[in-house]
Amino acid sequence: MFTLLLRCAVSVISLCMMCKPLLAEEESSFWDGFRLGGYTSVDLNVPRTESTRLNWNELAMIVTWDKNTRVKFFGELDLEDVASYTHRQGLDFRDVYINPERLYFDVNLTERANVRLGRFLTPLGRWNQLHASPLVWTASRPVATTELFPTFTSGIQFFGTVPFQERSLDYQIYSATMNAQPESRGETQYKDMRGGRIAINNVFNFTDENAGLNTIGLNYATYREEQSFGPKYKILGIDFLLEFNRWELSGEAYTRKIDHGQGGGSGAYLQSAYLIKNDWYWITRLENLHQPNTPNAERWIVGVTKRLKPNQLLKFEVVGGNGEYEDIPRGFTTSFAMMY
Amino acid sequence: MRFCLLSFWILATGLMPALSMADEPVIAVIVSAQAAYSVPVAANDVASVYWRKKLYDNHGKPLHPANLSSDHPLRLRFSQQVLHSSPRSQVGYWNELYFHGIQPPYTVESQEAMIRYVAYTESAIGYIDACKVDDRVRPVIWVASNKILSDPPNLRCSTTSP
Repeated sequence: MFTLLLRCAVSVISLCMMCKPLLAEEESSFWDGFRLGGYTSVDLNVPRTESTRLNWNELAMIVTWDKNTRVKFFGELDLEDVASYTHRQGLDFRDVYINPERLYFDVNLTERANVRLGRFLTPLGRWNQLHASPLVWTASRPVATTELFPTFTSGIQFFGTVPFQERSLDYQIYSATMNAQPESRGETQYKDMRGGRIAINNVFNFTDENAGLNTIGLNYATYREEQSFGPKYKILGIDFLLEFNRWELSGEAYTRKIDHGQGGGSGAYLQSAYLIKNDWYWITRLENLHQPNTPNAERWIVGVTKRLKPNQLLKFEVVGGNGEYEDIPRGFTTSFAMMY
Repeated sequence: MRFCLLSFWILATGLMPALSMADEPVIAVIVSAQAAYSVPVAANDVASVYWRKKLYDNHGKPLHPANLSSDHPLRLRFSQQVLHSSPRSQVGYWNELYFHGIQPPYTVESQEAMIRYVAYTESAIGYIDACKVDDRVRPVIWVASNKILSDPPNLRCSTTSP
């Protein structure tokens, strides 16, 4: 089904391009609507139990089309695990694969409501929607944001913002209409994703000159494992972001129930970023993950991150704790991430 | 002596901020004076428009907010009083929006440039010192002393101000 969606999107774009000669006078304006960007990151991992590895994690291309109409297009195509280098294996390109991360159309309905159709990041918490390396302080991602729910949804989403007093309320309501994921990399596959998220912005209404963003979000979703007779889950989550003076505090917590009321796991993280000087930030994160039939995992991360430019981050971090997760090996990691 | 110290303290903590507030210019949020380019803006929508959360007006026209450059004193005040954060602390936020395909507000270097951009761009919204408003643009909202006002406050504009 996802391939079908991809084909539909490509067909629509192709048709738009074919219409171009018929609208000669508008040719340049059609192309003016396109913007191209992306991001990339490189990690050097020195894990405790494995050999040192240099990874070119991804080369992402973002294409948007916006011609000042009610309809917009967004696409992100990633080349994942582009290359890796270890002393023993040398340069290795075998793990590379193409991942159509996001592909959707946004249609404005009213000034407070929009609809999104296609494949998008599941609106559960903050990290999942902002997971790109140049946007996050650490090279590693909290395990609770990868293990407890599907990170992508293919379907429909209604979203918008409603202001009230000095604050605003963001809402996102979504439902999967296609269940197949484009490619499984050993991850649990889910289907029938439905849920909603609300977030209140400017909760504390700070007016101090050192004030920053402060937001709190509530999340709820249901979904089931794709395998036959797979369990149905309900997940409830809370997330927050608080910036003040030199501090940025953020966190997310989730609890998951299986259909019959059994515990289906839980996880949380709490992260702080403190501006030391000259765009150097001290990063600390504590996180945990509990899943049925799996040993509990606790993680701690300390590190420093330098914002080299507004679109570039250089990260150094040490990861400790228990439990082994391939995405977050314990040990030392340094990373460079750039948005372009 | 204690009385003198107490009086000084009251003056320093109470009156001085009031005096400095009095020196701060009232900011006017402006739209084009031409009906074809103008756009309705409600006071409680200004922040959403500048955060690029509200992208369209109620007729489905895309909104085009404009900012002064990040070190402009008026931008700093507007940012603090309307967006409750400094332009510097918004770097991460604009990267996040870029990740979702949304561009930050267009940036102009001066108040005159702001007037020209707003006056001749469809559905554009900007802000300038309320005393600099001329007939090319129309003020719709005013920002004064941490308040966003739908009605014009009493302006004390110097005729010699540039």
